[in-house]
Amino acid sequence: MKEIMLKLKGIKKSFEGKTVLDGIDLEVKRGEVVAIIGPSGTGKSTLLRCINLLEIPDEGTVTIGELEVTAPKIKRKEQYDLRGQTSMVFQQYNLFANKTALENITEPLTRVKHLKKEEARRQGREILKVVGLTEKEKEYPSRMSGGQQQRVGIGRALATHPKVMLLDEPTSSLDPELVGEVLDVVRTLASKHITMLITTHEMDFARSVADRVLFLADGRIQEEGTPKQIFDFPKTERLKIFLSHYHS
Amino acid sequence: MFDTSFFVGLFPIMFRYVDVTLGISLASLVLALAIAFIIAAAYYLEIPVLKSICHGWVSLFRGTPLLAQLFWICYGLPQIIIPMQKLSIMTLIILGVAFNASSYMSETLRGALSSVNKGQMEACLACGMTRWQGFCRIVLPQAMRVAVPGLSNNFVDIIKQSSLAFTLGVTEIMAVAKMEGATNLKFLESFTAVMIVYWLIVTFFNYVQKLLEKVLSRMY
Repeated sequence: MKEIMLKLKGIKKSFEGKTVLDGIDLEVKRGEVVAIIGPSGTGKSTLLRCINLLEIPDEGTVTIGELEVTAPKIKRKEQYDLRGQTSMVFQQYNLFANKTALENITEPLTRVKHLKKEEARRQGREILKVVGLTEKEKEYPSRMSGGQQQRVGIGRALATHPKVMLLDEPTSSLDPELVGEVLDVVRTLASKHITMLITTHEMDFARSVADRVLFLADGRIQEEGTPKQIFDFPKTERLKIFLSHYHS
Repeated sequence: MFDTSFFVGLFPIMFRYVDVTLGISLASLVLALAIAFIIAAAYYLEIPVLKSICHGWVSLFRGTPLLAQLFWICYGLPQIIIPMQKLSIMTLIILGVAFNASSYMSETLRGALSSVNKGQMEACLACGMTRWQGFCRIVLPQAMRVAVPGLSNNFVDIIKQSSLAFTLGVTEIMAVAKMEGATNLKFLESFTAVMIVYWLIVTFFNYVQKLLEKVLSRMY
């Protein structure tokens, strides 16, 4: 039995009276890759953002490793500690615009993990090698392609050795020809058994990379299972309709 | 009509007092920037009590004329705040000009900060950085590039407003112009000369601003 890395219990969140998450329970084991699929506006991103408390849930408990916090009253210190255990890859990359590719990766290492500058740079270069951008070390984000930026984004998220990596539609703002290079990097991470939660619209990718797929709709997990169960033998009508849009 | 030799002779006299004008302006700039950063940070980071204080501060100093503020600070407040009586009139003027400018500069900074994509701060938080770290290391440096033209305008205002110091008995270039004009009854020459001196100073700093903008935009 593998150790539980992430546990959610009864996560609820609404915005201005509109319920987005209506009681989410989830357990993710060490090394597991979980893909979250579902219609747009169904709270996939909100779910990820509730895990690292970029959004504070209205109710519910988030446990990462040893650290457990209960919404809505979460102390600032607990927020920072919990976020230190996770990392996030954003749909819009959100690389630090005033930092080079290497500095983007070393910034959290020196500021959060308190590594010495030299050690951070050494590790940063290792990470750039993993995402295949060694030659872009000194480049600023504005001078990189979307795919390259997102690979740096993944590198930045990877470098801090998070207990859980959260990837929020990592390929949705990319030109189609750049999607492949980013998915390849994510696949590499999956093969290294890095615990990941990925929201995505790329069904083929979810099928090939995920150990488990969640189908989220109307603020609830409607169905979950292995990629085979979800994509080949969907049980609920909701999921069948959702998947039919992708098979045409 | 126009006494050219008198006019030309005014410049050496005025340049002797340019350091007073620049002294007031630069000292006010430094102090105003420091206060403006605190105000902008209080707003951006939503620091509870400080934010309300800053709101009152900005409202007060933007909502009243600088001349009234200067008289209030130089003559009014020292009546109840005894330590202020020990300060020179020059220091009090610098405080007044700086307080006034800080309210405008904080607005410039606030605008620049809000122009930085919200995702930048989220990225900081998501990797475990504190809001303060994110503000100092990521958001503020990006905002500065946007803020430089606005802050330069604010500084040019400071230079021009320093001319009000003459109403409080400090001899700077405006006071020299007035005295020279009055003693020689040559107002056109005197005030033309002082206009030119201000214009030269401001033009010089506009040039510095251009250089600064170029350096900042070269970085990334």
